[in-house]
Amino acid sequence: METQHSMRSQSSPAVVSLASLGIDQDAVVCATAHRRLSELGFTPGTHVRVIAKAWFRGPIAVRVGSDTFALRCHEAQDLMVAPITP
Amino acid sequence: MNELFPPARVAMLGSPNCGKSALFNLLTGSTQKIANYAGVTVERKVGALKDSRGMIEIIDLPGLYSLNPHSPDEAITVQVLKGELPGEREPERLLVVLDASHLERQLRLLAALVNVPKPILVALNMMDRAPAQVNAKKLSEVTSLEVIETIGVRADGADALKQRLRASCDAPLSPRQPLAADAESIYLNWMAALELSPQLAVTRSERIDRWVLHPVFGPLILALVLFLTFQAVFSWAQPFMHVISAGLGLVSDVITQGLPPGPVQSLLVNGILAGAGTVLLFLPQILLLFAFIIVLEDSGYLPRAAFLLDRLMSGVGLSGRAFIPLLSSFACAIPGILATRTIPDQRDRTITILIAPLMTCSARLPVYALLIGAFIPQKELMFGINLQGLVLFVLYTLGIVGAFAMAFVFSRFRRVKASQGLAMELPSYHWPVLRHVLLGLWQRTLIFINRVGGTILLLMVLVWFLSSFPLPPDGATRAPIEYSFAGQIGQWLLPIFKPIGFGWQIVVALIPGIAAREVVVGVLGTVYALGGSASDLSVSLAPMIAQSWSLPTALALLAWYVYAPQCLSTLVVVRRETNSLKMAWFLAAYQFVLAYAAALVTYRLAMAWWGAA
Repeated sequence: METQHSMRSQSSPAVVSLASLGIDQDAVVCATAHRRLSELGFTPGTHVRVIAKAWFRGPIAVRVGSDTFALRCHEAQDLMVAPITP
Repeated sequence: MNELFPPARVAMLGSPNCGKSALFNLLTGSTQKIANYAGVTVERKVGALKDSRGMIEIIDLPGLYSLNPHSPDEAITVQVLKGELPGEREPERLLVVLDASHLERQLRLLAALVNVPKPILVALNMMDRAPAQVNAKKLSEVTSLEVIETIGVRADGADALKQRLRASCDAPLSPRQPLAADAESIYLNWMAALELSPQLAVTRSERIDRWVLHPVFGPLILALVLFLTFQAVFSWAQPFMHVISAGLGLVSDVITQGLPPGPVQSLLVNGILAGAGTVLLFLPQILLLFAFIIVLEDSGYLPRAAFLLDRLMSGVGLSGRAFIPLLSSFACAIPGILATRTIPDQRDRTITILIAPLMTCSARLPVYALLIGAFIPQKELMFGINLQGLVLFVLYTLGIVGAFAMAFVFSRFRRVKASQGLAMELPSYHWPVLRHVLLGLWQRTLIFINRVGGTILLLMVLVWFLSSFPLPPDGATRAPIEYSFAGQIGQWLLPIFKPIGFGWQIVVALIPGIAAREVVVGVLGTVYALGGSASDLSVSLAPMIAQSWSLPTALALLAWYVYAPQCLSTLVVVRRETNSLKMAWFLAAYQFVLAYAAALVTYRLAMAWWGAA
């Protein structure tokens, strides 16, 4: 939880939550709120890409490294990323 | 096994979906022993690698993502690893399995493991799918660990590993010096040395996922897959069922002609053939259902289905992880309930266990198949959709709707309504391996045949005895079975079931059905065979019940079986898994109420629609 806090205080305008990322938009992880997510590979500097979003704020399918994970919307909201402009 | 010189003990570790189980099967073959760890419900798999030099004991630990456990399974792995699990001998060596096609995250686990002071052998698995820059030599140089390439899906894919494992177990144990660095910096060093690109390459799986996880096409594909499964179970199995049916008829004829009429002939023909034989008839349908489930599981589609249904699941208060246990319950509730062990939250898990038996298990299939075959006309609707298949689909849907409704009710009783995380891996798609599918089907066939030959046969002999004795008094006017114990029990319980349209024959069948559901079909076979005239002694039960039951009764029985109280073995497993006898009783009670209500509503509605028959 501490990381999340310090993150928000220093976040630049370019940093958004993973949940707000559009499909096919590549981004780089800035900070993770949960240890579980960092263990799964969502660590600062890692590239991510949303490949699918379910209806009604359902889960989000995210590519991270060579893996794909399904995250619930609230999990993705706590993950801050910086979009990469192609 | 020599107690003074115990065999070398190797623990197999890896993250979920790294192909560890396939590799374990290759290493240990038929020597596997599957049981539970003492006191907890986590599966313990041990096997042995045997060669001319003796044996190496291999323990396959539950998959994990890190050394900070998040589920009971992961906790066990960490405890065994540290030698902290009472009654479990500490492994001396580690065999770490990595999926070469998903190296980045898996290296993180390996980085955490190098600080465990035990010799490590790395199996770089799925080399057939590895990117060009990944190979054992390079990984070995970077990590300073011994690395062997393996292909778990090939029969000879672990031969090199077997030799290497033997060689390292023969070498003296030399504890490795832990590296003086934390796991994260070790990991970052490795990643830099391996020169894996941070860019996300578009993989084949991602291209498939564009369609499979698509908001519109995804649910359509899912509906199509499920619908195809149920259609196939009905139409593809027909030719095989005709063969079995003809075979049973032949055996029945031989016995009738070869043996004089009497108790022995009656036991063989009416008790065993009409009972257990009728159950055997449904083997092709059950195998087809399992074939579909195994293929969906092996291909990697199941987690995608869980993704598509997660919003719906969380709406009724279920964890998204509940989908896979619930889907397994279509085969049988028992593996489904065991699969709930991967749900970290205790309450989520209990709710999933309570609703899993509402999923239509394969043992209910014979009952559905018999009734649908007897009462629903074989009619082609539109687009090649068959009416019988459609009714089956509706019955399965009713089970699912009921389960979700109950989950919603149960989740209202939760004190904390915190939303649980999902963080579920969507593994790469794989072509199912024919050898593995066939092996799974073969195991299923053995289980089914054992059941027919064991529990079901025993129950059928008992039912035959109860239905044949006492003999009717002289000058009896009604069918002999109505004077038997079974007839009396049926009459005695009839008042409870009369309001839902069940005759005493059905009531007799319901009782042993509590022990094993498919027995219901067998009991009806025996009851009607004994009740009929000598020429009716055959395995063709369907026309007989079509004559003697009204349509509302048949529909009510179908509705009853959608929710009917679970078989005894399931209740025993629920008691063991929840560690609560009360929970098992509660399950049986709420299912009885639900089944009774469903049958009552169905019967009354059908009576109103088609009139009293």
